[in-house]
Amino acid sequence: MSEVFRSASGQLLAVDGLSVDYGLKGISSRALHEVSFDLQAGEAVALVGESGSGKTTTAMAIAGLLSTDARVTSGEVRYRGARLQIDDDAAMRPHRWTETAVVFQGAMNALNPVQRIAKQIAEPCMLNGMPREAAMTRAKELLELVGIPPDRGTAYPHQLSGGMRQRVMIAMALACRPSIIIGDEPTTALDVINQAQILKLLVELRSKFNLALLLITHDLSVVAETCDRVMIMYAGRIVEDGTVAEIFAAPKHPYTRLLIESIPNPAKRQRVLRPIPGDPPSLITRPPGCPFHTRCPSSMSICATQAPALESTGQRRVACHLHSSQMKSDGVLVHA
Amino acid sequence: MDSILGRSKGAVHAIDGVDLTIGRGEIVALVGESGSGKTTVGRVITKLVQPTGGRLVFDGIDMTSVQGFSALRPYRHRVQMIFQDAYQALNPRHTIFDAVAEPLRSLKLVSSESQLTERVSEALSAAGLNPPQEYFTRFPHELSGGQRQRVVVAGALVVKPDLIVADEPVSMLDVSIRAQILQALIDMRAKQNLALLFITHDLPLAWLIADRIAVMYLGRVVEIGSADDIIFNPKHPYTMALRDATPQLPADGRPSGIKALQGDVPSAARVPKGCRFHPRCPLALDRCKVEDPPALEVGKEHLAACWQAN
Repeated sequence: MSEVFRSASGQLLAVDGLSVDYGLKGISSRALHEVSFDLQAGEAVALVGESGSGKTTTAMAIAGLLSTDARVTSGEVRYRGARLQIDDDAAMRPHRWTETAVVFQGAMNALNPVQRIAKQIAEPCMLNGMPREAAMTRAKELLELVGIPPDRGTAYPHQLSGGMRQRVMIAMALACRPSIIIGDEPTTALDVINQAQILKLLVELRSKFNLALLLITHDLSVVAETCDRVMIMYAGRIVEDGTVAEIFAAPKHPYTRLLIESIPNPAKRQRVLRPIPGDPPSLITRPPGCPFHTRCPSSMSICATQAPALESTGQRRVACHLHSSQMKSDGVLVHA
Repeated sequence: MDSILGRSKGAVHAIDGVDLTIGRGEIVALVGESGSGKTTVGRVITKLVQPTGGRLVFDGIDMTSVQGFSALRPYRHRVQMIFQDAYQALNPRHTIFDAVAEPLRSLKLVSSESQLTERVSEALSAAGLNPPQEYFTRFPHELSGGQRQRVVVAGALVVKPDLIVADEPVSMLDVSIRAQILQALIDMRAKQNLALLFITHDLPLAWLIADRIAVMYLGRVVEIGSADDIIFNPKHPYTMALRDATPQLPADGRPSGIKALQGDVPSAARVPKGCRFHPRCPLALDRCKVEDPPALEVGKEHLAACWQAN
């Protein structure tokens, strides 16, 4: 069961207890550990975490694009109530692009360098049975929609700037009128002005087509501009989930708080660096207990042995012993 | 300072008339979009690119025409560069010890093995890799991205330079460990009076680390001033556009409403006439289309190349 209860009518996507392992040279390591969340129609949710946190694995699992060395060990993904066969490429084909589309990070790598951009945008439509002529017309519409003059459709990717290439990626994602767009670090490779343009475009398109947006990012500062809700991931788990306002105004998990504090913020006028000590754990060096306890300033003895459960209060969820209901009722907790 | 990145047909001014000074122990940030020429400035200073005009003066010595490995040896000893991508900056077949010891060996800065070990340990630990001995025999692929970048930093610190040019040294790293790397550089400034040219496209980060910020657009410095002046009192419309495009962390979670400047940086092969920013400038006047504005003094040690800056 999903831990977040909402009206079933608006629910588009449900991820339920999803665990994914990667097999590396015979050693199996867990990339995702019982990840559960849901996505409503038209909702924009950010999935934030550092490298190795599992945010990209989550996105790829939903799109059915897990690599061949990944194995879904538990849980499921449901789309409009029906279970998706996320580890079966052929079964996912009719779903991909038409229901869930992905905007990848490196547009230069994701685009075909020797094909004109209009043709590339038309391709997902043609794969879904649209005749060539109609698909090319649709490609022109889509270019216009993302702010590229349609006559640039004859350009090759290398003739476009990084920002324009990212617009092409967005046009491709919209080609088959999906309900969900997954943006995997869509602005990370861009500089700040291009980033602002792409973020604004995503916000516009989202409201225009009532798209649900799952934004994968390591950058908390872009979240407030684009999303309603944010989930923080660490070492393969969701550690906190709440509305953007709740998370920024009153983060509960120490990791979330430190993450927010580590971002330079001129508005605070304090020129102080606040690093989080240590490194994010890799897939094979996950500490026992709470995965964050080795870097956590509020770590207690229980944190080293017992992983905290992701507990929900209303629509807010947090996985931290400082906020666990059991700790509070037992009176063990003396400070928060 | 001018520099031309050569092509077989014609030439392109990658940077054009850049004036920049960096004081001893000073941290200057060079900020701009991709294509602004900020990396080329760093490469001219580190003598990786030969400028076609202007002068490069280091500690009173004109370095503009000095070329060749042996002639540049004393300069390389005093000026180091840190690149963005630690994956490419480290030789995958060299141990961490060898990677950090390399500049000491090639510049012949140590006379004995024990001295070498001591200097390498010192540098690794200054870069935040403790205890240093644990890293000696390891290879780059055994380290995380953040640790690798710290090795690169150690490789720059090991020669005890007077100036480090750091080109986007933390932009590929996770937010939580960026601050650790920056702290190592700031500590070295305090300890060894190290000067730092910090190249970045991240304005809040520039403000956090730098004493002064220079903003570049299409090969030119369009505004330069103290970090606080550039962020809180910018005079050039491009600086304002950069600031307004940067997402802020809202205390109440409400979006600050970023504003995006239209268009892209023009190609350096087609620099607009007059003020080079005028085609994208929301404040452009007729004068801006014909007359190139010089750097005007708009405050104490605060210059802006804009006709309307005053």
